Amino acid sequence: MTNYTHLPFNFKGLQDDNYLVSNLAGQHQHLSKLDFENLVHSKYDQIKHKSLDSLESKHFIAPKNEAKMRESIITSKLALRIQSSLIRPTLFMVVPTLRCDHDCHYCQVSRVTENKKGYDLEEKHIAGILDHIEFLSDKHIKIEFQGGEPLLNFNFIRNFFDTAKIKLKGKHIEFVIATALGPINNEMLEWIELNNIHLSVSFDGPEHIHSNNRPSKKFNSYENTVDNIRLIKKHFKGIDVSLLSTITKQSLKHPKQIVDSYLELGTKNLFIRPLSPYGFATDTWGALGYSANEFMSFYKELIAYIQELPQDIIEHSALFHLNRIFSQATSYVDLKSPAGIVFGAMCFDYNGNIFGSDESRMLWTSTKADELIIGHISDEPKNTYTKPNLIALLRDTFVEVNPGCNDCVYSQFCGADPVHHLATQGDLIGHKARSFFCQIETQMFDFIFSEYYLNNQTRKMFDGWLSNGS
Amino acid sequence: MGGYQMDLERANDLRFESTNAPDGLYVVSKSSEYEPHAEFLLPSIYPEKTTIKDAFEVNCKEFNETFTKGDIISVSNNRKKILGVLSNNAKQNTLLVTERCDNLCSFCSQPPNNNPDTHLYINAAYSIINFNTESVIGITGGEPLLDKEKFLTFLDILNKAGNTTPLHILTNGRSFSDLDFCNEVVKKASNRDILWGIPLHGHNHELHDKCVSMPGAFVETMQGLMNLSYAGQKIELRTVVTKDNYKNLKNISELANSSFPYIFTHAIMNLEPKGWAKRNFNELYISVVKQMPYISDCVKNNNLKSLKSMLFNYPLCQTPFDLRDHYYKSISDWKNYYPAFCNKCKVKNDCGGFFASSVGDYLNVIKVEVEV
Repeated sequence: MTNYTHLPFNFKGLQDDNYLVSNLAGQHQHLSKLDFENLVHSKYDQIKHKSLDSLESKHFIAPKNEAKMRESIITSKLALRIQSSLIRPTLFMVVPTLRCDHDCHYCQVSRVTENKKGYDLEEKHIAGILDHIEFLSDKHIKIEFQGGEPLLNFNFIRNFFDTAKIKLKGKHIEFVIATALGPINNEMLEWIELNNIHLSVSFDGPEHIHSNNRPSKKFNSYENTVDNIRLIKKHFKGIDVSLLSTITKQSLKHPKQIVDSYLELGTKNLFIRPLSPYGFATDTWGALGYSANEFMSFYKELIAYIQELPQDIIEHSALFHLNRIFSQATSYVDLKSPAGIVFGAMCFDYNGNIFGSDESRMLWTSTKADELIIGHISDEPKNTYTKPNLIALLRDTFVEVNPGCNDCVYSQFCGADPVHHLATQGDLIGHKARSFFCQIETQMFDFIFSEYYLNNQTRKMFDGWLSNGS
Repeated sequence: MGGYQMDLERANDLRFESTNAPDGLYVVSKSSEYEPHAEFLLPSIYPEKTTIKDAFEVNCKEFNETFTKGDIISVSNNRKKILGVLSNNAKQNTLLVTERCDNLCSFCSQPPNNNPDTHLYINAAYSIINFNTESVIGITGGEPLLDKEKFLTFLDILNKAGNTTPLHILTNGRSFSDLDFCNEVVKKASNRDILWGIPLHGHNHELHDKCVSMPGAFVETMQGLMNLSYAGQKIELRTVVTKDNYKNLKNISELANSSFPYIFTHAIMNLEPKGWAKRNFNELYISVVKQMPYISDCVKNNNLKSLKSMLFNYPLCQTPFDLRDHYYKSISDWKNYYPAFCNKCKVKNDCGGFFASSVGDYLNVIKVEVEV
């Protein structure tokens, strides 16, 4: 028997006496309780052969005379994973206006009413924003117009688009408008289709949920959204529309109806997101919010229902997690270490403030906490991104060493969310035991790993998503 | 002159009637327009009378059908033979630069020896410079990087001539465990595209060292792979499948995926019954039917980690449908063989068939396997 030694790892018990181990090389392994105990007690000769081989291949154990070489592999991998998180931002959010024609109870950006003055981004700032984007970005970027309802300042979008095409010539830009489709008309749609712009539409499911979560004084918001999506699918086939759902307490009992409502619109790509504690949602949390447990029982029902259906449906929130687990992807800003603030996303707010994430501007809008502001559009780009505010936001976001994360089996796949913890606990790290983010992510990873390793049918579906949907 | 290999559509070894060329390397020239490379030039050889100064002529019957302008050939007066070294007609050109090696793989198709090799490095460099192609040329051994100085000199000569030919270099990677050497090579490799073909036959030293019959090889190869992959070089991982390691293919893939930042491809190769592999065939060969479930596990794991798998030297009929995306018709036309039972096969044209390098027991084994 080879003379083995073990290398550092984190662990956690999953359901039914199963264990998961993970290490700083970004690898994980599922073990039976017996194998796990033998590993912990260094009884290597009693570990099942298949598990032993796998543990060795993934640097959980090593023959004693390979230990030094294996340690250098693990540390290099850790360095590589951190380095590949230190990327230039690829997502640039621009807020043409904070005005909105919806009155969503959970509005996380604290929108203002449709006619209020002083909440539009002025066109004179376009050049400045593009200077910042040019300074920060690589060749492939996404520019997303956020609101409020960005279509209420459609002229700004058009001018921004035209100027960007000239000024950022040579870059591959994907343009997205995040909209509830209230002000949309044929002229806009023709322009959107012509310029290959994507639409990202909030859609919370059946009428009694959607209209309840996202009421409007002007129209029946469910009918408006659904009619417009149908219109686009029928007459503007070139427009790529993706839907995303924010889950509220009202949604929790209706996972099947939410899936059905996507299918009724001919969409097999679901994106399910839990509520975030920003903006109006902080005040309405009692009425709309829920515990992580409640969310996860809803989410598990939804995934189980997807499996019953004959259609090949993909739920993208799970897919982001799967990609993070299996290819250590760093493209999802919520699951990054260090955090995706600037290293992933940027947000140019209606008033010219620059933020490192959408959540930062959400929190600033409701608290006016100026330490969240990285700079202003009129600042010289080269002097903007080395200031203390940004460094302070990022400094404590290496989850590998965050208290509560350093010994978590999921720390290799999870991310830091400093703004969430600032919003909910008043400090950038937060106590993980009280963190909604941590509770949701932990349970999400529990679910995904358990399903992947203990349920063959789900594993097949997840593998299918990984090979087609990523 | 031995040691050169080309995958040719037809024989590249011609008998000549007469020549005024001494033994050595030549560039084939077919009209008086040919202008030799300014520096590092090899002499020209013409299949007809020539008045060009310093050029040679050869009288050889099938010369024009076999060689085209710009090919590199070698002349051996003793054997009255011309041998193709680099040919425009070849699907793949490969040059051997040494027969020395520090591994002793039980399945080596070209067993090592201690013959002098300086001339092989120099000839290879001159051939590449004069051939001047932008298609990939393979470099093989022996272990091309065993003599670090010679290998660096080889790259120096190429670079000095301004050559940018892409290379596919087969090495056991052990020399790259020396980080200074690795960095030196990476620096000298910067003006060409190089794919490093490096074998990993086991997921620990026990298995890998057994396959290559050399204690300590695994740790050095792993360190070499680390140094080279972190230096951003393009690496093709190569695993030869035998009785010893076929059950561990997925573990090998797992090890690669958990250790290195980026691997370009993982080549999974069936035994070529040649050299020591032929001698040790019964101890090494494991039926393809038995290999396939393990290959499938390995490929699936590679897919999950976005590492591209390639299957070499397998008969298509024994490759399951879900693995055929990874199938390569790798056995070249001049060394493959289709047993009689292949004649009815509908996919024969897409299939590489079997190695012709062995008869008797080997083919009997294969025949039984396929027909059953």
